[in-house]
Amino acid sequence: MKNVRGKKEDKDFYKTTRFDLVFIILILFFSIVSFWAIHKRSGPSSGMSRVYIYQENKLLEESGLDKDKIITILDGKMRLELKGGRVRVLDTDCPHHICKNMGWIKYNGETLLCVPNKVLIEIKSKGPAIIDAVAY
Amino acid sequence: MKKLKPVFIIIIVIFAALWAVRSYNERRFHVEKETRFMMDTYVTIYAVGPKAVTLKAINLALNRMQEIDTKFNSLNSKSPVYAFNHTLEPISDKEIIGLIQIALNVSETSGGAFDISIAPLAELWGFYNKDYYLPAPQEIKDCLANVGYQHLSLDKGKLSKDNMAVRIDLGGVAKGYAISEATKVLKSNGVASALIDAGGDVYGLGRKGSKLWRIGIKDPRGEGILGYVEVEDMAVMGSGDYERFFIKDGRRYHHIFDPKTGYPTQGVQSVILIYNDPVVAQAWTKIPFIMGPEKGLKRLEKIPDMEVIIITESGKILYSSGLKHSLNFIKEAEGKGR
Repeated sequence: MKNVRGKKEDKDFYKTTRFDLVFIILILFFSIVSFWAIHKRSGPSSGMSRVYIYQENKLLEESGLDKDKIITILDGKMRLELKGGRVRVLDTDCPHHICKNMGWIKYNGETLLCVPNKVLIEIKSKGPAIIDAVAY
Repeated sequence: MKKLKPVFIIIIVIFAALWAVRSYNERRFHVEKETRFMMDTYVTIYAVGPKAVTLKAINLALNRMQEIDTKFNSLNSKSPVYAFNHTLEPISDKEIIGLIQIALNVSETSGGAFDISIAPLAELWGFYNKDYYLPAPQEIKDCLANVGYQHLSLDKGKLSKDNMAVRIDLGGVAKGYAISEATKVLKSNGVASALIDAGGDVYGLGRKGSKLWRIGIKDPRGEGILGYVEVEDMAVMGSGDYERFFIKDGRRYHHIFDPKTGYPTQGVQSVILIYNDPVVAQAWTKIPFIMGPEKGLKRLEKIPDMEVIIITESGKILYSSGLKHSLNFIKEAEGKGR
């Protein structure tokens, strides 16, 4: 009798029950949520750097660095060049052109600063950052 | 079915625990950031920790930096430094005297290479009103008669000068002091991990989670960065001939003067200094410009725990022996990521 019952139980063990179904759905749910959370956290790949242009904490413009282009801000007072994943100040009306002389920036966290125009140009990438700040 | 029930409960508990740990870590390692314009540049503070703690601490730290900017600025008519420069009234403010004492110590130990009494020269060359001017040799000679820390005397907590034309500029130490004070404010408000970036002068407080703060070294003439250093509770301060300058007849005239000749220095493009005290670090960044790259490096090597990177006029990179294994050039960094 015992053996018969044992065999019956083994047979039941491989049957998909309501709990198994709930269990599988939960596993699927957590897998999808975790995947979404990790994806959201790591963001786009390192090739997806963007440039953000601020004036006194106000975002004037932003753009991806994947396309070469010229951005004009402050009614033509400043022009920025985006080329090959880099950014530089191309033209500026400020007196000493210090921002222009700073040259190109390309790494996540790098900034260009125009003090007279109070403009901050920053590269941000949601991918892994090489540096946390730049000393100069 | 009965057998599966406890397994199911255990799995749910494990997932809930993992979720709780993740939420706790997100809260604990949340990075808050605020940027403000002051000291002729943008200052950004990043702080790691619960939002309620970091937001308040950053705000208070930036307020303190703004307070220092106003108080120590020789061009601000309400500053005791302005009054000192335009009258014979001595400075008695304890906080200002404390900073002047540090600056005078650096002047003495550097043999006068660092000097806060450089203000008349900076004014003559037009670096204050940004109306740059190449003075005649006689004008420089006349101006030098009022330059030199020997014209200043610090006695019983008061700074006085020996003639009306002597002026001081605390710009060579004030940013370091503002950073130092900001770290104190952050710490006293419960922040143990933060990064202060005051327009290229950086301080890494604690660590960034389990990692060190990674600070890039700007290439002074080219694009991007030359390399990076990794720091904890350390200032990485920079000075460069590209910060404020003008070019006349093909020669670059920048804002770092040799107090002995009265002319902007030659031979060094930029200096990056790594030291635990941002005030002392900022002052010593000027020394290799004045002493020259090789002599400057030798002098700085004598200061315990101070590390320096000097980029010469020709683009040669010199660095102190302590950086032999910790200065990473960018080609190595590009593949690493973090």
